[in-house]
Amino acid sequence: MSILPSKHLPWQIGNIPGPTMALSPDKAPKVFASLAKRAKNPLLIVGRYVVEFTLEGKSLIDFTVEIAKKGKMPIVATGNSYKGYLERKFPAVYMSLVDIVNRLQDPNFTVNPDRKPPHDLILFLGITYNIGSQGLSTLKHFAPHLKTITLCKWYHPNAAFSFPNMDDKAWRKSLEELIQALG
Amino acid sequence: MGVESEPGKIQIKELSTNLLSIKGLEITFGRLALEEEFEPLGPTPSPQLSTLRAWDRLLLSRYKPFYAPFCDLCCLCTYGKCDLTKGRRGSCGIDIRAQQARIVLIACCIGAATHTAHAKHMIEHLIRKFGEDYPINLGSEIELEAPHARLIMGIRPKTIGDLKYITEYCSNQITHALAAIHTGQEGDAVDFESKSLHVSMIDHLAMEAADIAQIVTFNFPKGDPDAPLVDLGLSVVDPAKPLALCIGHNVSSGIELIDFMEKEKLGPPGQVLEVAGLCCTAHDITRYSDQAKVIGPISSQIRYIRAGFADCIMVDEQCIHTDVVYEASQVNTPVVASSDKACYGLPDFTEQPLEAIVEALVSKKYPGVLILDPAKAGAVTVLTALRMNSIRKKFKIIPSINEIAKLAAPCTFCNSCQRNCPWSLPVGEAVNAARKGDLRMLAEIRDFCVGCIRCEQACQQGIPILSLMEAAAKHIIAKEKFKVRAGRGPILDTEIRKVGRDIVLGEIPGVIAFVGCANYPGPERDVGEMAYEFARRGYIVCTSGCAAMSAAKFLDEENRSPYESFPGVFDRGGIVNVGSCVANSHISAACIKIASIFARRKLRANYEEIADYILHRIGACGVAWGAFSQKAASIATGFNRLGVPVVLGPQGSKYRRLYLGRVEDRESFMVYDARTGDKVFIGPSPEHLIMAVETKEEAMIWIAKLCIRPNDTTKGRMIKLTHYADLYRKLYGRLPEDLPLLVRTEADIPITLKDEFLDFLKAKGWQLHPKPTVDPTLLSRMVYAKKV
Repeated sequence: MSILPSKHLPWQIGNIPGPTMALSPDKAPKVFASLAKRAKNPLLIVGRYVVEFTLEGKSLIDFTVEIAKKGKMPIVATGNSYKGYLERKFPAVYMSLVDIVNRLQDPNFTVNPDRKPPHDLILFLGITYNIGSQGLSTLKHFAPHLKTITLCKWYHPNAAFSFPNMDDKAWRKSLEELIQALG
Repeated sequence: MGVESEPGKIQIKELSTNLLSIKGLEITFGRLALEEEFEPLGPTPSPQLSTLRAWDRLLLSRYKPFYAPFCDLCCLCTYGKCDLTKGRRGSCGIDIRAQQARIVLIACCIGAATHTAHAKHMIEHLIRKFGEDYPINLGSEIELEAPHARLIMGIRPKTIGDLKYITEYCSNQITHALAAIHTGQEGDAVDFESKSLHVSMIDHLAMEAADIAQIVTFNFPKGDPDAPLVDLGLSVVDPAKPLALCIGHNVSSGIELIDFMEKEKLGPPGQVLEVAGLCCTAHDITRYSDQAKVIGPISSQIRYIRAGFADCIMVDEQCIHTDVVYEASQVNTPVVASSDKACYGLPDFTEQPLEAIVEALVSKKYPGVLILDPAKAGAVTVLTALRMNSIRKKFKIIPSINEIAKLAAPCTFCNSCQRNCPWSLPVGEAVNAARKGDLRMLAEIRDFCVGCIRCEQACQQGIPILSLMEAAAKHIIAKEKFKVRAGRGPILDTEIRKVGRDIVLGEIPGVIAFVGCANYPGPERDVGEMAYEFARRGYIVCTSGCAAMSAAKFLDEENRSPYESFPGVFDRGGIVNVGSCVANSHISAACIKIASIFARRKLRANYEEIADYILHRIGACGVAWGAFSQKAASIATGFNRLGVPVVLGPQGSKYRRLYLGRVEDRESFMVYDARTGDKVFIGPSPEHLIMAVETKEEAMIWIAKLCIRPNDTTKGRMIKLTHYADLYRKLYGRLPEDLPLLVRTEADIPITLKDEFLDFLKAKGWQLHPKPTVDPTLLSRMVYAKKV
């Protein structure tokens, strides 16, 4: 098992954007669940890894479905992940990552027809690190009406809130705690 | 006047003699041939920085700049670093949006300057060698010899001397664009973008000049669809022979090298001395001699140097690993640097006698030398390689399989390697497994490795990780022998005549260009797989640069590369390797040629109209799957100004800016119907001008979609939708959600899928679109009816 140094440094060590970097609070799962419960219009955006990663035998996509159900939030599936939701008959929406991020800059945009725009909390999970980091940067700078949380096992400096760098075991534990805390 | 540069001018303010009296006489000479009336002069000859600003603003009102800052700071002046987060402006007043656009402009200027400087060097060398009156003759099937020069500058170059005026104009424009970046100059993001588009248009012009010059003088293939298939891969060179290895992009010294071999009766490459190349210079030496070989793209550089095959390395310019001298010295390979843009601290031996230089290298007195004379650099490389072969005995630093575990033993599994890898490959796990004797993972991740050796830089134990990967994958490397078609250069006018109609009507579903570098999200062969798939579907596929090399690495069931499986013709189902980076200009030029040859639009200095035509009628799409360089940024942006959309791989998001449409903003997708002046909605065709996606499969869906144009006939739209829907279904198992926006009438629906489409559309509340326009334009001046 790897020993991860500097768990609150960007996962990609050179990816230091500037003085504003993500908060990675102690008891992050509970804090994130609390933020999600308080949000008026949260949204979960997922990427390719949700259908490529399994955590100790459980597919990452199954965690996302539980998060979405308990957090009462829609899922936008990017990359190749959409098919996984169709197979599970979960009503996700397909958009490319840049398309959804582009629209989220607009305070009048919402994926969820049952809630008023704007989306005020965006959760990211399972997106390729580099393009995910860039998408979070766009939202950090150009979508002041929302906050971002990443649920990946990598510390993402461009999010408002991020899990620290961690191994798969800790990641699974964190996701389970988050799901539990969501209700 | 047609050109801004002043090739020759005599001015007499006042002269009075016994015979005559002159006042204010000005005689200009040297460009009359360039400006002859081959067509009526259009509205924008040799456009300046803001001449086409209105066109850029039209484009960008539909495809709005989308910014993804890579850095929140500005550190370009001594006021800084300035924090630009949360709406803050820097000391100079710039905000984060304009700052990103400014950085993009820097990248595009670097890209355009690199190609322009390359072109200038190349042309100056060729003029010295062949004379400036050497004619531009691209063969009987190419009359439209320089589409970019005609379109942008309004000139028709006839000799290689004429090409100088093009590079002078390019230099001039790049200087103006660079000046706009200075602190306290431009401050608006869209105006920065307009300058990026301008300088990237200039980039295509410079590339065209460079490639025309080398094609005509070196007798490269002149649009030959049957250009020879040449060897490519890490194992194509005969290790029993000495090897001269060329790295870079400017082939002048590489050609001199081959000419010197012939002069010295050493025969063609491969007979006595192997000649191979890395990066674009490899394409160009094989355009000169099909016995030369291509090792691979930039990602192969360090691994091939360490493998020790090269007995002398000659570098020219661009995309060279900048510690090439150190890496080569590890395997006792001398380096000859031949460009003033990449001197690497080496002593200048340009004026030294040939034998003395060779002796200095063979005796290891210097790890390398700088020789700013292409002929001498080529000769030194040949003679040094021949002598070093017996001295070096192919010394390498790739370990044997038995040594891997020992070299991996110091690994502490700190994972710094993975965290420094651009793709976060599980390098630590692989090295740790190797430490325990399991080499499989090292061999597997090599397939995804882009060869940057950032992992080694991060390793605190100094483990030579890339070398371990190479050793672990020895059995795979031994099979790395592929075939790539030598770069054929321009598209023939006759080919355009044949396919122009079918492209414009949509019956050939698209022209797809795989261009750019090798920072891929997956194995190199993915590019070949995509090229293969689209050629199989009847698209016209073009390739260039590193992407053209990577495409060769995909093998079909019969072990054939795409270049062996498909013809090299610019026609349905062809795969056309145009050549090196500078040959990218032929792909954009093909779009220009369609507007001219098929649609009979006037080209001369008529950029806006032609770009408008291409945007709305020519279903072309660029794909820069592994783009990393500034050149790739300017190449892509140059395509964009001409109306050609581009799909980038995920790392492309680090260019900081995309141009994205939002089809729900219907007004932005309204165009004029030129015949009536009415405004009509065209749907997402194309939806974006430049975008980045995560996966190869997702890219293929978007490529097919971005080939859709408002001008498609119902048959053309039907064909395009068949491919789009099929690729979408292959990945997601259902029809695309946005079909209602793309199906205009029932006649657009693929016949075999009619019932399924109709059920789907009905469920989505689809309504017939208003009658599609056959003459869409963004330019009010193009409306015949004079309603606007």
